[in-house]
Amino acid sequence: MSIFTTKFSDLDLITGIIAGGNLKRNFENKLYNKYNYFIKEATFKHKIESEEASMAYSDAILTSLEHINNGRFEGRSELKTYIYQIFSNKCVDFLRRRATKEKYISSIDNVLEPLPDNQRSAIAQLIQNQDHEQLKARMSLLGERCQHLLRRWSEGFTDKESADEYGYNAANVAQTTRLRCLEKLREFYMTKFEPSTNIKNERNGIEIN
Amino acid sequence: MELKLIDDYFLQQASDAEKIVFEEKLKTDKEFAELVAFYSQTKAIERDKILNERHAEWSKNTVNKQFNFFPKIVIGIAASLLILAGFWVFNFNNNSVDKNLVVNNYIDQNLALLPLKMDAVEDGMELGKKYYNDKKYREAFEIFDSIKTPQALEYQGLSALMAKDYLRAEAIFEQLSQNTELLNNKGKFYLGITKMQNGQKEEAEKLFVEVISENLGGNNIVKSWKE
Repeated sequence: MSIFTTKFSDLDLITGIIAGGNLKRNFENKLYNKYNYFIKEATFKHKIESEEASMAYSDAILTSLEHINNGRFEGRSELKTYIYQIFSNKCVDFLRRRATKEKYISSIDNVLEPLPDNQRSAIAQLIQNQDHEQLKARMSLLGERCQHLLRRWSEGFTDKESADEYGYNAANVAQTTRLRCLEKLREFYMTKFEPSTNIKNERNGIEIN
Repeated sequence: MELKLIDDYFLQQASDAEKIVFEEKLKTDKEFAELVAFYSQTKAIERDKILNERHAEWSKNTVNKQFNFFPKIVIGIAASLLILAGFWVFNFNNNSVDKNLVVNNYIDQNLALLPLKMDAVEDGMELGKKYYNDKKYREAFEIFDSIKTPQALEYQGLSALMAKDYLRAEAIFEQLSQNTELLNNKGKFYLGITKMQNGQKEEAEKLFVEVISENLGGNNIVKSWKE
């Protein structure tokens, strides 16, 4: 029964997001709602469809949340300005990719952020040459725990948090387990086989506890 | 182990020496670069899944809010009319001044601050109470709204009362008064206070009589007002 139309301050939202706990999602959703009028503006400014602008905005919010959580957003600019800049870049990226008909994984740019500028495009090119669909299919063959650990890693959870969840002694145990999952995934990916006939054996082979 | 080096680099856990090794290998070792591409691609595919899920959730909520817009306007107009009616009743019954004063004093002395647990881990309830005590009633209201307990409902109603949003406070205290799990249910008592604040003196007094006759939460306070 949310009947007030309160707008939390940016500081309130950032504090709530960083604090974590069961209200984290609530604050994240409030951040999304606070600036979602950007979507309508972008449809005029960038001449893109509303649904395309909406997806770019969701991506910009997810990126901003990652930056708030990992400390990359340092508060040097206002949060609104920060989100707007990311959102504009996402819209421009979208237009560029549509023009070049490039195969598109939305999250590639985000994931490659830590690399030096001069090497980012080379790795992006290598990724373009990979078979994304095959990799997705192989990921679904991983055991439940591996899939969960990889998802948490992509969501920005730390290995310490995963260790706490699974009762591991230390963060490096969670990291080692996650990397073993990645190694196994790579083995699957490099092996050519028909998933439908091998799923059972593969599943049995890769559960990591 | 090369994956460990890559992972530490991407998670910004690598030492300066490891960073140099990583960047050098990335330039000169094709197999290593392909491993970095595999690592990044896996993470990107997982992130895309998350993005699609969050996008669906956020878009759905936005659509729902658009549908809710009209009823909110209607509620707003109805609230304004009720408040105007409340003012009329207040002006008509000049003898209500003293009782209002008593209730106002009670609010100032007893409802201005909610008790904080000094050693508690900061959960939603404590956060809501902090907003309330800082007089950020609207923020507190939303926090309590997300916690589904009778205690949070009581505090949510008080947040609306303190924000002088009497229509909402009444709705919440009505709901609270019907809760049969609470031993000391003050729902009807707070409803009376809200109505008094809203200028509905006669209805408020009826409620206070019921609080005493039904031995409900707050009955000792109402008795003390009559002394």
